[in-house]
Amino acid sequence: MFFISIFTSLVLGIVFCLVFFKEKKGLNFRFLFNLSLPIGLGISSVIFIFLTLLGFPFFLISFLEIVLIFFLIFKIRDSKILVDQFERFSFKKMSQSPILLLFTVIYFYAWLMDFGIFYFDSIKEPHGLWDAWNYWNLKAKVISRAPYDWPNLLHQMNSQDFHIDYPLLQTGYIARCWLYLKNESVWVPIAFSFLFTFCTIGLLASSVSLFTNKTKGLIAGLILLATPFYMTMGDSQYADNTVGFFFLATIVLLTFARNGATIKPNLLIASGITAGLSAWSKNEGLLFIACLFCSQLTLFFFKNYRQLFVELKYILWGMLPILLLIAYYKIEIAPPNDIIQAQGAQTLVKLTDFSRYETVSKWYVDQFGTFGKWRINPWWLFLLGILYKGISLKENRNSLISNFTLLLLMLIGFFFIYIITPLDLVFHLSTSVHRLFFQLFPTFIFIYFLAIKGNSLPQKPNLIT
Amino acid sequence: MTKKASVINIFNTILLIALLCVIVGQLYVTFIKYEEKFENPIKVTKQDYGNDFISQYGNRYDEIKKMFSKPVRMAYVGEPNEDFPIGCLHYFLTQYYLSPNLILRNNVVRDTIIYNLYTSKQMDAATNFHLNNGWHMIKDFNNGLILLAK
Repeated sequence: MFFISIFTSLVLGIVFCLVFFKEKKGLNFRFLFNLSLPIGLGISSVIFIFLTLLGFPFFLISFLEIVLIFFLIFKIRDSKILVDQFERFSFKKMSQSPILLLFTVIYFYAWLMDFGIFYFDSIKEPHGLWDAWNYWNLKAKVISRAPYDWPNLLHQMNSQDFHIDYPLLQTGYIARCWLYLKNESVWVPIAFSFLFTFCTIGLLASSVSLFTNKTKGLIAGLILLATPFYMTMGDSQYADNTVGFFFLATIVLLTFARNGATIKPNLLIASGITAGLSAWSKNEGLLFIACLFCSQLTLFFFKNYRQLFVELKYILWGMLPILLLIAYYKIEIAPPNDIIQAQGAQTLVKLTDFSRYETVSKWYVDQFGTFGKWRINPWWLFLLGILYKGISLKENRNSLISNFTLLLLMLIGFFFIYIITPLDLVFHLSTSVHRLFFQLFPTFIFIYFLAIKGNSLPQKPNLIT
Repeated sequence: MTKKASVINIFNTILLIALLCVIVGQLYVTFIKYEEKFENPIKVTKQDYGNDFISQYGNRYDEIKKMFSKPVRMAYVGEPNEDFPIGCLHYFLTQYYLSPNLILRNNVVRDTIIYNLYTSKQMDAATNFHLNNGWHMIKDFNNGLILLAK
């Protein structure tokens, strides 16, 4: 049942993505798999929470999920069979480039090693670290043990202790699987975190590979695989990798949508859905959505405003159903967020207290120094790459500008949240700033590889929808 | 190939090899930390799995969980004078294992009360406030968990 519950989500994710990627040319299986599986998990969570709120019994929810899969398969019946388009592994092609072969071998070695590390850490702490069991898994227990009464129960719990206002993607999915299994296996949250952690690496590597070349794709994936703290974040079962995946998926889909002469509305809708799922994963996703729309405004300088509004409309359509669910949860069930609730006269005092700016800036700078717990700071490598290769805006200009602005706005947004936080500033920074940076790290690597010069396209992504 | 192009090519290769060295070095450093575990994965699995603090702590609740057939709201009392973070840990774990029952602290008064005396294990019936003010003991689970009701 454990595999069936995850397999249903996988199939749902794949057929869902195929609806958006109607033309499979240039699409490879690795990219599709790594993008689809977490999206499937996210959509299953949305469906499960939405239908339990309506009072649907669990067997009916499972049945409706399967009906939805068949409906989506029916929708894509006209498109070519994707197997024909799957890129096949070619050893001959690889052996022509020793560097590529070497990177591939190291990539697989690193993947296996990280798999082992994830396993060892997970059996040592199968319930996850503090935030995981206390915020995500605890609420999953409430939902799975009281599937008809959970809104009422969560509403009465102390939000300061259990952060009831946190969105329910991870919680909802774990509860759904526990109901499938009829027991609360610790392997469900472990598998959930595993899929998001490794699919982020796979999506990053495959999408960089699609836009640039295979070697760069492997390097991008290797950077994440070799970052020690990235695995720690994954096996701790925190939701930071979950939200980080959806940040990356949104940016990748937006870049695909704007790649080529005309925009691809289907992919803009898909990027709206992934942005919505990021907000369904963690509150940072709401900031991401705000920054996403603000960052698009930079494109006023480069394209017709009417066209831009049409693009924004598609993105909004994609995320709207999920945003409505989040709004309902936040207004009707969850108590207000502690940071938002604490705002008032003190906010202005904090905003004009420059010692707070100094403290946050110091932590930001420190993060760049100690990021990811690398022995050798990886930032100099990024810098070296830019200094040596330079930046090119020839390809994907609009995407690069808006995506880079988005990253910048997110960092500024996080900065000001620290400025106005009601919690002890140093405590808040010490417990979260490294995780916030990590949420943006995969997206940063993607934008970086797209921006540096010398990107020869092996196959121009041609995902006409 | 022109001379300039071949120089650029050499530079590219050097840069890639340098990058590879940094990545491989980092992977090696990470591997060293886990080397023993990679050498004996089965032994490590047997040794670690289920022996973590959170799992062990949960064993205390096996019996008490059976007493609630539907969600109950109960007050929580921890050890007197315990450290704040330790007190939080015990309280959160009680909520974690007894969900969907609602465990309320901060001197909330309910008809059902759960005592979680993880260190001292027993309460002094003669001086206990609740036992002297209308509550009675339903069950002492002999592991620091005691359930009272009015």
